[in-house]
Amino acid sequence: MSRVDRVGPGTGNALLAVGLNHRTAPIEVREQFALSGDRLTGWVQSLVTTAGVAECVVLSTCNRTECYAAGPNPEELEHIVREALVGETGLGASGQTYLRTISGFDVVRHLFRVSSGLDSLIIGEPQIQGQVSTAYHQGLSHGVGPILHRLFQSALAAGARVRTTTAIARGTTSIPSAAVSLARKVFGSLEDRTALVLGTGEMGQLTGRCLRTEGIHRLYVASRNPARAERVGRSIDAIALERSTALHRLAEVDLLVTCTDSDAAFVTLEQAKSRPSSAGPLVVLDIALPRNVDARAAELPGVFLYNIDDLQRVVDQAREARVGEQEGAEAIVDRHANRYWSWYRSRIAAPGIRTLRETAQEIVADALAQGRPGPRDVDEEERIRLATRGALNKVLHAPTQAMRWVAERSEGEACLRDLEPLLKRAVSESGRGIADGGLG
Amino acid sequence: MLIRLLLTAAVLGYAAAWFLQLVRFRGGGDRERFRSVVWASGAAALHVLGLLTCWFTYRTPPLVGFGPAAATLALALVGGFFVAARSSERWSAGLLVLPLVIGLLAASVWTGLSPAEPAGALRGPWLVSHVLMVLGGYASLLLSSIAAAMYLLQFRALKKKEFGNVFRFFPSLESLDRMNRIGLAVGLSTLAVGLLVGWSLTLTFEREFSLTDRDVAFGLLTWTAYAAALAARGLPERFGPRTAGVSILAFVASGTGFLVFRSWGAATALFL
Repeated sequence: MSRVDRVGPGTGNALLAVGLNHRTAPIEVREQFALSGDRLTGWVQSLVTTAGVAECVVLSTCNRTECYAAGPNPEELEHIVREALVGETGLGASGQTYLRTISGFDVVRHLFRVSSGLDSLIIGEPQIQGQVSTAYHQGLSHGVGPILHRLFQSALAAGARVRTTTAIARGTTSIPSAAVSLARKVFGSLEDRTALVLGTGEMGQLTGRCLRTEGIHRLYVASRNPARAERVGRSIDAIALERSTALHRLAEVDLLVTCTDSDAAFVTLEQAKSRPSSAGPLVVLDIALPRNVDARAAELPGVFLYNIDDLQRVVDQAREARVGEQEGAEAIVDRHANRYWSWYRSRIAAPGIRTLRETAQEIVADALAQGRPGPRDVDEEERIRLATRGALNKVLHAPTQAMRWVAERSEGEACLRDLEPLLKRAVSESGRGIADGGLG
Repeated sequence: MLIRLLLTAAVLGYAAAWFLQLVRFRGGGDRERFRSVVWASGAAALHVLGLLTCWFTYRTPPLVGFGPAAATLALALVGGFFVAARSSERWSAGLLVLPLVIGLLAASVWTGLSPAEPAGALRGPWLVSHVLMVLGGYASLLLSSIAAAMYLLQFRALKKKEFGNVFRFFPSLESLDRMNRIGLAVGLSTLAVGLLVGWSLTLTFEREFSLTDRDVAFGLLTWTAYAAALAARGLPERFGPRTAGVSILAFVASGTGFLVFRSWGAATALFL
């Protein structure tokens, strides 16, 4: 496909995306450009009422703010969207330097890659598909027309296809989710399990939340500071314990997460040994540095002990596996993007087709309205034949004249040579359609 | 000819399903899982059709003689696997179940499916129920051993912190434990009832019961070996690598017994 082909049909159908993401702008700038809630709705509404903007959808996440727009004039459209975005941030002219503009086929491929998670910070992350869907649904009430409607629908379909046919979204990509996935490999469902989280720092809270999301039956959270344990416990629906007594509950716990700032391993081998084997397996996730659990506990038969390096390995392997799937995913994206682009390009003929159809309908309507009776000696069948021929000649007059004009131009011969097989194909296909009982 | 054709097609279908399981094991996506389910289901349909054709052709259910019994045992194994794989993660057990099914079915096609003629007195619904229960019991016990083998592999991966294909593809220890427990409980009780029915049939019609009969001896050996595996589960440490090992030993004992009994004299018994 040539560069010209990739730019898109001319007047009336320009498609572009203006915005920034984690590759083009630091977080401080991305924060300034982030749009959400009423601010986003108001911004889109004011933009689509501006002359020169026909359609608009804004995708705003923590990693990107991108405005997808369609309008009659690409230069004017870009100018309007850029000004509107920068105007919203208050960054002035300096904001312009962070914005990137892409147009035509690049927009299609970019959005399809975004929706598939191929453009994300963590390849294959699942949230982006939902965020693209939300952006589209927000746009439905004011900014979406036929071009963006089909673009976003196709992007969501491509994203779903990539996720179901490749392993790009498989595995865990964060330490807390890796911790949960390890526990699930031992226990299956966590719904009838009990967990104890020692430590109320950020990692402890994140892991606690992850366990709650997985539906853990009972969750304890322990800290040296009882008030803090209470506060964190309330926020993640856990029972608060004091750290000094928490390990007394080891026998009833299936999963122990340690992430305290203690300097020494305070979960000793003896404590791990004291847990009765009839209590079933114990998964210990020691996320702290220095480690909180005596490493020799891993040798006990019913204990599965993992430290931060092990969890990082789970995460790294999942990420590597996802990168390995990228090639297959890109091929799916290309296939869907080309399909959309064919439809998009076919819209170049839309105004001409509309004029032709309207003219033909008028001519046929005129012929019927006139309902002129033929000469007295001509029967009904002959009258219909004459009327049809007259209407047909009038309908074909304009395209025939246009072909003559094309032939008169120097480059017309090549154009007509291309047209002839296409006409034959179209005639053959409409013939098949009629033969099948439809009109093609 | 038609029977062989249908069962050979079933073997190929199972082989395709297994190949897709391998692809998924090596890192394939959900599409391979779906295709594997489709191939295995199609093969199972052909398998059923083949056995029904065999039944109508020979006017006796395909239960008597090595070929028919092996083909029916393979179908029981597939049926048990489908039931066990209701939980999608356990579909991965097909990685070990399907080769066994393929082997049994290929052996039955190879040796032929014409039934060994049973003694006239043993015809009828009681013989059919006896053989069906025994084969169902064997299938269930085989599945429990496969679950135990997968348990050991997954346990090793988790203990050694090898987060590769086994860790990713195999089900959780809890899931494999449940599969082993249910397989043992169902298999032992079904086999016990099947053996009792066979015993009462023999006493009723032949007035004697010989423990040296190869089918009887094999049945008792298998039941005893797996009963030991079930008893091992009652140990205080609950299910773990040791009890999984006992399940695998039971399979080895049963398999060795099969080979020994089969090579012992002419093949005249019902199964061996």
